[in-house]
Amino acid sequence: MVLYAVRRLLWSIPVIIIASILVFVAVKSTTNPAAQRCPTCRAEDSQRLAEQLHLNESGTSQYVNWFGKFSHGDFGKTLRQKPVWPDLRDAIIVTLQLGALAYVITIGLGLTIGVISAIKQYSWFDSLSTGASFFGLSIPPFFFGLILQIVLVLKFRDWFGTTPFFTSGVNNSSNTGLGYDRLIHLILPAFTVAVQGIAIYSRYMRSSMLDVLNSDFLRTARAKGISERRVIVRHALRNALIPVVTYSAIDIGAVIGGLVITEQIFQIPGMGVYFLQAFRDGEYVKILPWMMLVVLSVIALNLIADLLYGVLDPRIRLD
Amino acid sequence: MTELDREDRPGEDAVVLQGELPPDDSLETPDSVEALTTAGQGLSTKPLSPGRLAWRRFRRHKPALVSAFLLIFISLVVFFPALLTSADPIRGDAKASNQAPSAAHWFGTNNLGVDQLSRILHGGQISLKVGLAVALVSAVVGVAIGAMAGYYGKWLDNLLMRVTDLFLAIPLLVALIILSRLPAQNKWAQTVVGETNSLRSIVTILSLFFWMPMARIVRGQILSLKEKEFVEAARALGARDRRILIRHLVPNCTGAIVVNVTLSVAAAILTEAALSFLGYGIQGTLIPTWGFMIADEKGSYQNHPWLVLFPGMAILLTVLCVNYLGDGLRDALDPKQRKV
Repeated sequence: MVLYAVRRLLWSIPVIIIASILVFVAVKSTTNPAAQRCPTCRAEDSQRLAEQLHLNESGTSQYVNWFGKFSHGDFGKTLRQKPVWPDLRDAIIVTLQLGALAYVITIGLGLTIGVISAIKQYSWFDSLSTGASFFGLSIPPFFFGLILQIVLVLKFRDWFGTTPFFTSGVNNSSNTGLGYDRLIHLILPAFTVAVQGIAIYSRYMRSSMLDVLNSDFLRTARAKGISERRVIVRHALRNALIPVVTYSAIDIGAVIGGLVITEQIFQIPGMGVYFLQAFRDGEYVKILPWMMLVVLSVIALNLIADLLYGVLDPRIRLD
Repeated sequence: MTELDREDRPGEDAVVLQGELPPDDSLETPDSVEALTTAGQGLSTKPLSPGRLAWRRFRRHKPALVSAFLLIFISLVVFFPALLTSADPIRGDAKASNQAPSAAHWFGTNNLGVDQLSRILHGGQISLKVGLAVALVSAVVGVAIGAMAGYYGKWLDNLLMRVTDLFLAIPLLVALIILSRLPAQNKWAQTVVGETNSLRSIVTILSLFFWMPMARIVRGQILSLKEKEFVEAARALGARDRRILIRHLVPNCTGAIVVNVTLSVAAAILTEAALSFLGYGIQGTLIPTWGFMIADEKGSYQNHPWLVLFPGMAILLTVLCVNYLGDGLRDALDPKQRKV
């Protein structure tokens, strides 16, 4: 187990390097800071910019230069000579809050609905949740967010005020703490992020649970006289969770997409808005560390998923 | 009802005793006449064709049936908008701008007085084309990769599946946004995939990220199919690998392939809409796509909610129908794969 973890960790080093090359090539070949900025720049400014970004050197040396700095935690400066990290850090904090809340809602609601549907298969609740999950899978997340806004702004203006989805606090980058006020205002965006996940997880959990409910060891457990509640919670649920947990860690790519869209709708200054803004401005200095952080978290979560699989399911040998 | 339940089980329905046909099931189809006449003559074990069995399973999935008809209707009115409205989708009456839905303009008008229904129908052509094109292109890629990985195995399987995993791990939307700008910066990319934000470039870029589920499913099926006796028989008769793959193995995956193509149509429509919403989808067409319409009007939803609601409902309805159709097709064509 430990050996496997170490080996996987070592393997992720070449993966990270290859990914960083891909990221660098992709970002460099789709953004062009000089072309976008320099109509307004003076000649010596462009000169300085080109030197600072090593634009006149070969692609390889630009990459080596950037990756060397990045791996030492030096994220560089934007075209306006502002350090990248503080803004990026604030964006990360906001997104982590939103993402964590969305994750709790997704897992909490998705798994609960899935378990109940499985236990009461073919009941009205089951049919209702099946219908709702098709709905959740088919509605574009941005449309769902807009509907929430339309309904709530028009109907509940008195509750939330005219701008119900963000307080001045959220837009203030110095305020990144998670207070009660922030939590209230993140609920709707978090729900928007979660809709698709709830639909997927409830279906996934339902089928996983049904598999387990029909298995022999559950009949044995009942035959031993264990109470139904204990059979469900201790025996069925724990086994049904295995495939779902691993899936949840791998699913991060979809979550990131959802976050980008949701932040854009609700104007939450997180990583999604940060990325869209930077990409529109052609600020590849800002995009590169952003992309690398995403890559690192995807790799880390996949690693965790693999390890979790082994921990949760002793039948699986990891070496 | 017990017969119905028994028929639902995969594997048991390969041969259906016609004498067992439940009466409510046997009144509308041509085969029922035969069934009724043979019912009296004891047990006739003449098997139904696979196609007919599939149709029977599909028919039982009521939402899928309704969705199929709705989709036919949607495609008809989207590709022949004259069936529903004769209004101009481009020019409008400036005096009649931002009108709420009425008898004259069912879906209202936008800020230039253009009829919203006509715009949505014409704009839908692009959305549907994207969905179909992406699903078909990625299906070809996915089947090829999955079939090769499953059939040849060993290092090729390992390599192809690692590549598949890699593509699955890439955050889709971010990759699409970045790649959608590639033709604008790179002449070489422009000649390959076409102009930035054109139909061709968006379809190409989307297809790049939609083949993975297909590859995995086809690989899984081929892995088990290639051990079957009919493959051995084909090989004994002197068939080469390529012939076995193309003529024997891939056709046996048709059910799974069709189901997957349907589901990726839905996903592609949704993803293109999301891209359009963020401003990186298909642009430069006279009539915008559904996602772009919503992005365009999202600032005015408080005053003119219909400008946002109707394009959104169009996406929702289409994708919902496609998803239900896929679910019904899975019941009909690929009952063993039924998982979620």
